[in-house]
Amino acid sequence: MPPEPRPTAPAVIGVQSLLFHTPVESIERMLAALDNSSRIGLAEGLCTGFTVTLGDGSSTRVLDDDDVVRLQAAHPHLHEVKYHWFGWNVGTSRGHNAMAELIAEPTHLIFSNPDVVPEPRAIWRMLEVFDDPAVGFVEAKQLPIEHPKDFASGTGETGWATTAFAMTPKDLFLELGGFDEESFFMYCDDVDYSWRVREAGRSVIYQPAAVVFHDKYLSLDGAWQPTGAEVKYSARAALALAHKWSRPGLVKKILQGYEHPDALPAHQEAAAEFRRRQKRGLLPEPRDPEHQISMFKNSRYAEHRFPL
Amino acid sequence: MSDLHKYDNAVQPDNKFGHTLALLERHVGADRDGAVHLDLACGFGHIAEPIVDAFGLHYVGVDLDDLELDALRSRGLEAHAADLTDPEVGDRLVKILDGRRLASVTFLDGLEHLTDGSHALAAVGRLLAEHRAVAVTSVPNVTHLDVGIKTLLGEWAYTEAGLLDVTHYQLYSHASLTSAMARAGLRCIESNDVLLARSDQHFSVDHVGLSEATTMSAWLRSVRESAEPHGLVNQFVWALTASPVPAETGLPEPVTSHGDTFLSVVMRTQGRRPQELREALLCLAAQSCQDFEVLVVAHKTNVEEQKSVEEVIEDQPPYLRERIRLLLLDRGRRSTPLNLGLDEARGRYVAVFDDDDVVMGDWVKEFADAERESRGRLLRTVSLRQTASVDTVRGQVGIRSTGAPTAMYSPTFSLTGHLVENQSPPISWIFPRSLVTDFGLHYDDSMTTTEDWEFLLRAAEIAGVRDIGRGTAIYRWWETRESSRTEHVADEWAQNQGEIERRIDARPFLLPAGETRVLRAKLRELKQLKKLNNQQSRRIARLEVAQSRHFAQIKRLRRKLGLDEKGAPLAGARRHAPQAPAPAAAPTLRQRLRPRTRLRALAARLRGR
Repeated sequence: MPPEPRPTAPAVIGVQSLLFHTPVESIERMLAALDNSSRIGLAEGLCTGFTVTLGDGSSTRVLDDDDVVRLQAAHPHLHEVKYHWFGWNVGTSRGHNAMAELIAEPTHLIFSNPDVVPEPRAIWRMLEVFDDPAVGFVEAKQLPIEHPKDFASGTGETGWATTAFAMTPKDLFLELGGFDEESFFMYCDDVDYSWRVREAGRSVIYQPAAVVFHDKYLSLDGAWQPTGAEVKYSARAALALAHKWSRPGLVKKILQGYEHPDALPAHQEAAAEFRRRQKRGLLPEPRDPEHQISMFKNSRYAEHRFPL
Repeated sequence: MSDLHKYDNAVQPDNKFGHTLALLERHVGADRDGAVHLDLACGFGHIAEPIVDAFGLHYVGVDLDDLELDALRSRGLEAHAADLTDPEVGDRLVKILDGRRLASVTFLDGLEHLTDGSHALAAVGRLLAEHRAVAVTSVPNVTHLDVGIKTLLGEWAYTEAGLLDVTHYQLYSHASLTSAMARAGLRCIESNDVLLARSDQHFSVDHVGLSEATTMSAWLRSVRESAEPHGLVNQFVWALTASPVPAETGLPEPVTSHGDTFLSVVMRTQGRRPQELREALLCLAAQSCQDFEVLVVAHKTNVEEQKSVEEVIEDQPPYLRERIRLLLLDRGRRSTPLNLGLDEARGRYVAVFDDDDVVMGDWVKEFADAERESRGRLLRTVSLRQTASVDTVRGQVGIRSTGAPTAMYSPTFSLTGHLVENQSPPISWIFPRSLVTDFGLHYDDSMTTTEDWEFLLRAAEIAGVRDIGRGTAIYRWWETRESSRTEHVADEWAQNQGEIERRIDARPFLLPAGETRVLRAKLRELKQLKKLNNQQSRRIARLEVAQSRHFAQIKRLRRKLGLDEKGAPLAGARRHAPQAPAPAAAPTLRQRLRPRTRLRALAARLRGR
């Protein structure tokens, strides 16, 4: 067995996760796994600090003060478990941007879905990738359903990283202005951030040796089962992303589909929202006019290894 | 027959006396000079003279019946009265020995006649320990197949003598006799049981359940043979030695509650793919239901591989790590680690989870929910299949999925369907541990592949299968790396499949309710297809006959026209054909048309008009 990778400089890890009526058991599973990761990191000198920020976008608090005290006490290797109730559904972009401001110490931020359980070594294998200063964003592999995005064997380079579980240096995150919360409520904010990382000359890496469990399911015939929110917000995000990354033809094509009388109500709403923002001048200035960074292919933002 | 005479049997090589003498021959120590043989519940002491003759021991008979004791004394043998149910019987035997050295004890067909034999056994245990002596006991087996089958059918017939002797107070199976001995500080060092295919309970003679030729009997016998191998033992005849009394000495308590742990996950690993092991344990760490234990069986690992497995386990979060047991195994084939896991498992159900399998977050929960409604049945979900390969990124080994998760296996279970093809990767089903503890099911270690298929068929036959109808697992299909699929050649898989079929055909096979409906439908379909096939065959045969007739006609015609098989003029025909005399005059139109007309008529026939 090859030796475990060791990052050259210890880090302070800041994991942030946006809750939305998340079951407490799910949060407990994630925290237990993070506590274990921190145990290993602290024991082996891979990190000097480890914090977790739970931003709650639910209409009612998922955790009360006693829960927070209990969770902090139950996870002694987490230096801080910070809980912040936004009081409204802020969306992932705005939520993560706000959470990044709540704790100052982390050198590296991890964006994690609350239904994720990281493998004990995942975080440290991701951190080691940042020994290469050209790297700006690292994504872990998801189980049981691996994301079909392609990546380069050997280097792990990929088009974009999904924030189901991804790590970025905090200074880079702040330098790039975080996620584009004006354009993206949820979905595609990670694609947009990845492309801006690459635009800034840094690479996005997929590390299959760093594994996390993301609680997802397939139908009996192996088909992806999108939630209603996924259909709704990914439709909005698709339009915003195509516009922002200079694909007017694609925007037109998507709108044609979404505005068709037979289109899903969620798609019709997405088109209406886009038109409204367009009319009010709320859309961002398009970038990457030569399409050096972005990729749009069959409703995807990278080459895929297999259909899902 | 009176009680006095019913066991007045002569010493024969094939009865309990002969078997006892054989055991004594092998186990009585060499220093026999002046030593005593104690015969408890001696009755008439039939074995007395053979023991004296064979071993030169001083025979001492002990029983309660004065008539029998007198009979012994009349033959010049020492005999004493003692109540073997007396709590003080140990002291009484010490008194009888009176300081003499004890070499051996026999206690033949006596235990079952005592209202409480524990004092007598404890006394034997104490004497064997003190004198380093050996004992032989014989006890009827109340679980003989003849009794077992009849009991199943509601029949229970006491007899004057035999397995269900009306004077028996205690009834013994192999397990309960072993426990009774253990409680008395006794351990069996060799058994020389008396086997009887037809015991004294083999009546009536035309009993369908008892006949070895009937289907029901054959099925019950095969199940019993797998569950417990002493179905034909008429009398247990065991050589005993003293052993420490275990801490748990009481009689077993009826267990009315279920085990504490729902699932035992048996995970075999060779320590060669630590990344896959990490992924497998991650899947378990993330389960929404954590009511399980994990038995990681490291099979034939070298020091380095074992260390890597230990490191992976050490890395696990405490809530999972404390439920993982690492078992090391340095022998056997593919099934040996599974069987070790089965023997060590404590859960109500057992899952076989190879170290490269992947499961969804509700894998355990779906099974646990199904157990509430279908306890005792196999519980089956559906596995998807996904191609994968090993990939290295920045020096770190990872797993790369190369294809989409694909539905390859039937969403519903059919036992008859599984006779033809295995549609259930092990990760997609779990089985009750009772199949192991009560039915003796284990994975067959003689099979180099398909051991899971063979086990599934046997388990499903006995327990039945509950389909859960959810996809909860991904069975990885390795493209570029070794796996059981690539390690074993196709011939080997075919041989093992043949072996499975041979075993199924060797005994009756039980189908669940409703399964014959599937069979009927398939048989009807097959019958229909055969009918169609026959019709088509007959038609083809007719066409072939017609075709060959037409070919022959064409051939004849061509020959007549001087053409070869391809329709070209025959050179020889031109060369050797007699020169036609020059026509005296040009042929008439009728003469010229006749051959053409004939040809047309023939061509029309050939076309099938």
